[in-house]
Amino acid sequence: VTKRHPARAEPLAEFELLVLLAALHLGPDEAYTVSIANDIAERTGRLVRRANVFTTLQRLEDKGLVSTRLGESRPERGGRPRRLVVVESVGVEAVRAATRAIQTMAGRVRGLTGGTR
Amino acid sequence: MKPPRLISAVLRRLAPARRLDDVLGDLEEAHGRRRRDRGRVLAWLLTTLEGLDMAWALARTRVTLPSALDFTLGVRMLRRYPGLTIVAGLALGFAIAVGAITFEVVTQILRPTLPLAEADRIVGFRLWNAETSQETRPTATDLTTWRTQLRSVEHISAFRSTERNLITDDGRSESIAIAEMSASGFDVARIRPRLGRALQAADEASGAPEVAVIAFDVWRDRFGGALDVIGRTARLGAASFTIVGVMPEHFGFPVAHQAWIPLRIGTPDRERRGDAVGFVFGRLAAGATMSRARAELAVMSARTSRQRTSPQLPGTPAGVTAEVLPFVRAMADLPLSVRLALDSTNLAAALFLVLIASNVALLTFARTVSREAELAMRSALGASRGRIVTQLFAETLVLGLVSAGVGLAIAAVAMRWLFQIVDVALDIDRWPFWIHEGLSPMTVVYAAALAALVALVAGAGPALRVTGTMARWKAGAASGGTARFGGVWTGVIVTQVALTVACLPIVVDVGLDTARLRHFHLGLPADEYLTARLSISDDTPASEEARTEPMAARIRFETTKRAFLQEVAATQGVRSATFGDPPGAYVPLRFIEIDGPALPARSASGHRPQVATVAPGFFEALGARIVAGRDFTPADAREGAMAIVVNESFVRVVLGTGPAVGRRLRLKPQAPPAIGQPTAAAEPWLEIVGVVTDLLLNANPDLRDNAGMYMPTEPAALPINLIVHVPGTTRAMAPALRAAAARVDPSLTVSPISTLGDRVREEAWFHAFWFRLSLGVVGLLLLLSLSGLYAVVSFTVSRRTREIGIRVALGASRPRLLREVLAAPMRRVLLGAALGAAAMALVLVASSGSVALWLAGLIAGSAALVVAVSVLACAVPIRRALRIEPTAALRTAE
Repeated sequence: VTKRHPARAEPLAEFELLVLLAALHLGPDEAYTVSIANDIAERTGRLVRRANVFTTLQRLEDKGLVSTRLGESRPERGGRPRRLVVVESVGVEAVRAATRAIQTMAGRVRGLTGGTR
Repeated sequence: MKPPRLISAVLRRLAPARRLDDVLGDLEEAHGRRRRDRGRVLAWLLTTLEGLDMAWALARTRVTLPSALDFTLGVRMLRRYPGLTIVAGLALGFAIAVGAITFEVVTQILRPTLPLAEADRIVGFRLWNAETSQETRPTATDLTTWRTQLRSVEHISAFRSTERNLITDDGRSESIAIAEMSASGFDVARIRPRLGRALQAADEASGAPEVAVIAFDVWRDRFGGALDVIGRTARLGAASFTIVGVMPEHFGFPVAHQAWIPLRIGTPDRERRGDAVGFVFGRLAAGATMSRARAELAVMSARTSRQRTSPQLPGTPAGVTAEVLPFVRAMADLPLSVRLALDSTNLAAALFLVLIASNVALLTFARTVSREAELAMRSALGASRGRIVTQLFAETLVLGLVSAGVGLAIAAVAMRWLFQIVDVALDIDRWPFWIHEGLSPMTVVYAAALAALVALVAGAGPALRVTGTMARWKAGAASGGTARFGGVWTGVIVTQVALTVACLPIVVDVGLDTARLRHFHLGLPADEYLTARLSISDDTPASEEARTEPMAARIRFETTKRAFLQEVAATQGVRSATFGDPPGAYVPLRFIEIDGPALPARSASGHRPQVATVAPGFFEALGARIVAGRDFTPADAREGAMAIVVNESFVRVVLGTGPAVGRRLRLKPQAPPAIGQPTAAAEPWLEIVGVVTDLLLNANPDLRDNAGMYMPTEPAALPINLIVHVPGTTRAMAPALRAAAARVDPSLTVSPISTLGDRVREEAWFHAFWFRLSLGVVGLLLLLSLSGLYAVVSFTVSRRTREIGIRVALGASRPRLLREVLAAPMRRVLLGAALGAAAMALVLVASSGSVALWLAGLIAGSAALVVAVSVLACAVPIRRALRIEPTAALRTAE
């Protein structure tokens, strides 16, 4: 359950953006700590610490950008459910703002994205 | 597929309850996947690492770090409670200063940093003889072997220290410390000369011109900083040297040297002295480590040790092993027990700080209790116990950091004093170049760590205790009255009072000594007398002669001394000159046995007069009168003569009435023979030939009388104390004395030169310093105990406001209330005073067998003083207690 809804989303840190993008990509039925960590690792080739993903998700939840709900019990987790992550609309807006900012800045640099303005 | 149990257990403790299933579930799922993909062992290892990483992340979320606001509040608290800030700041500042000074001194002794490039790669060699369990000095053979065979140490060099007179063209002669050093020693130091060049390998060749490199201060003081100094000649003792270089300021490598001349090995002179080259050192080669150098040397040492038994090198024992150590350690390696003892002084200083911080904790506890309502409010608004403790910790950390600043300022000043004291006490002219008076950056960091320790003891401790009752605040008891002083605080106050009571008599004693010393009179106009030590510089033909041909040397020394004395006496402005122990200097005390009747002695072992050695003519030169018998004659100084002269105090204290001249006495052995050892042969009887008026022998305030006896000094004795009577400008005479020595024999050195008055004043300054220091420490202890008591009493009164008010309303008698309020704190004070007095008495009984009446009175007096001052400290809160209006008391309690 979201704790706090800021009137305006705070700027995202790079790793927060990656976690949100992974959660959006995986969808509300598949996004949880382990899958998000694996997704970022596979796509970026980085070594991702699960503890980092865990604390980032907690922080995003505190900021009201994501909410969580418990899934079904899973035998591979010793009968424990997954805590599934749902990206809230504020979170989606924050991702949009961040990517837009990056595209705007990167677009002006000749040769970086293949085009110039 | 369960993950490692230990990791699960750790995470179970650290994870918040609502996330526990998530954390453990994620761990188990990831572990299962790893076991399938990577095997059991690797999975176990990776999951353990990941689990630990998760545990660290969880732990960090649980610890509340102080915020900037907490520190702002801390600064505000300093202003709001100025009394506490001043008392605690000074006391903690003093304790942190003690800690910082101890740390700095111990570090400089045990782990010195040489102010040279890559100084940790400079090493020294040490030879250890396993058979004699003693260190032996390396020989030229060792030096050559190491130079040619050792790969892990380069620029292997050696040096020997000597003292010689530097005699310049203007005739000035002053003794300086010289290093006879291999030219490669400058490559080890990696410091370029300021002017000219350093020594070169060619300078070491036998027959090469005599050259010297001089230190910056010698260049500045003796050559006026002349830029054309290079190429000039100067005499070092008997030989002439050409100056080829000047080293930069503060360069004293290898120890505290002021000039460097080439070390020539293999010269005939050296062969005669057993070929020793002094101390060998070098620099670790590029890529080499200390352990590699040790291993290489160990192998080589074993091989050379076998070769040492060869008949070509008689006298060099087998079983000698070489080792390589950090430079300073190789030069003066302290035994492990001494190193441990020095290191543990840091711990002792930290414990002293904890004791002071515990006192401050008493004050902060009282302050925290007075803010109980505010803290309860914060707790009600959702602040956790950890948050509140963090806030109180941060507030005290601010106090600790301010105290650390005060402490570092005190330490910086005290380090200069400390150096002065050691200079005076040990007569140190120059310190090794790596020793400095300032505080190193490491000490500043250490002081900050001590501030954190203060915050733990005086901030977190009381905070944990006060917040321990948080559950009751929530239950509605927020009006206060829940916290209590415990046994720890009682212990702190009792210890404090005991220490103060025990220390006060010591301070009084030191104070009395200081006062006595200030009024000491040597029995002569002390500022008109110069004293100096006359010696023959080491490693010169004269000292060499003393080793090889002692009889010839004796005659030469005697002639030299006589010629020097005549030269000095002929100097303009000198009234007289003589040799002997100067008045007011340290002379030993010896137990004696009197032939015939004597007055009863204070000690059961007999009389113990002071024994000085003087030359014929000493008394006349110092203006003392012979009141009976005669003065020493040159014949008395010959071997077999048994004449002594005693002073008037000796006659009064030891002999009593009757003629003293002609009486006999003898010295008792210095120490009783060990069990199983034969008794030492009795000393010969000595005959009193004269009685002289009193000159003060020892400027020692602990001595009850000045009873002393004089023995004649041996005519050839060197080094010896010189005393010169110069009625006019004494200070201007020092260069004239040195010049006189240089004229008689260039190897004669005269140093250090000071007036008798200066010596006694130095002694008085030393005592006065200790007096002020101990007075300051006891004053601080007293101030802390009183503040602690004050805090306890105010705390008790404020806790019992309501009860006292009601009892006053019901007509309770004031004396009875007074007794009740005072009872608890005064019990602590009386217990502390009794313990302190008993401890002091025990120490006195253990050291001297009994407690003198005046000392017992002093102890009782100091105990009474501490109790009286404690009662006064309680006066303000108690007056407040008795003035409480019943209505006001009831209102505050609602």
